[in-house]
Amino acid sequence: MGERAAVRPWRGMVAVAGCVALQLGVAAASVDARTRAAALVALAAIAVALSLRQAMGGLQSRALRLAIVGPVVFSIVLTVVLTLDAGVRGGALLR
Amino acid sequence: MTGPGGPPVEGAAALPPGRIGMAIFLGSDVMGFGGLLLAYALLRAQASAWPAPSLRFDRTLAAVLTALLLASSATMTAALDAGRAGRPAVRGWLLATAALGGAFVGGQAVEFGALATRHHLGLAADQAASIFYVLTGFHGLHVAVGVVILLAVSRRPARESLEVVSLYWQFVDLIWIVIFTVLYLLPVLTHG
Repeated sequence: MGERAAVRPWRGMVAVAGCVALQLGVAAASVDARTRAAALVALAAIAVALSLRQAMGGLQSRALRLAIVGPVVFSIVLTVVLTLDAGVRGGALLR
Repeated sequence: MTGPGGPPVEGAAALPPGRIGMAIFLGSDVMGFGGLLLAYALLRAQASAWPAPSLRFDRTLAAVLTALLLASSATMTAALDAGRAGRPAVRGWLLATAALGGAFVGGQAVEFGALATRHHLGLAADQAASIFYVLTGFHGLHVAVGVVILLAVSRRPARESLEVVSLYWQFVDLIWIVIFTVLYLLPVLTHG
């Protein structure tokens, strides 16, 4: 158990680094911009989720984890909604 | 432990105060970064023109800085592992983490210097420059504070201090992944 627990964090780190390396590859790829943007955001989301999971491993309390995850989710939702709203009002979206 | 004027609070004694304090701090800090990222997104969505990032930013330097932070995350994990196992290597790993964090801050200073001298971009040059400096500077400040904390903890690395500083450092790293994606990678798609 102890041996396995010691190995796991390194696997998480490698996965996060792999996501960021993939992001660099996607940014330079010759695919259309919308597909690349979706891939970049998806890879960032995976990397952040993995990092968050790793960072909160030592908290040992669901309430404390929620104290961090709650504001993260709230910030993401607020940013997406208000940016879409600004984009629509500014005419950059739904044209 | 008992609740206010009453029965024992189940599990309350198991929560170290350092971790509770850090969780509350990080929860509020997320809102700070969220506000800045929201400001960036709104400025970008409402701007009729936005400067091409390739003309200003050195993406290679940003990628190197990202690699430094990811490496520091790995050394922090190694320090935590060593601390939990009671190995003396913990101090070395903490100092390595602090060195990588210091290199990140140094690299950011180089980037800011290049922007100011080569591109004549001050804090108030335009909206893009302002939000860039504020967002990356705010994060850089977190890294610099983290380096100071790491150096302080490395002098006497207690288990609880390690858990708290590890939580802070991993959080600073994951915020950078978001900033790197939003500021350096996504704008390339619209400007090339």
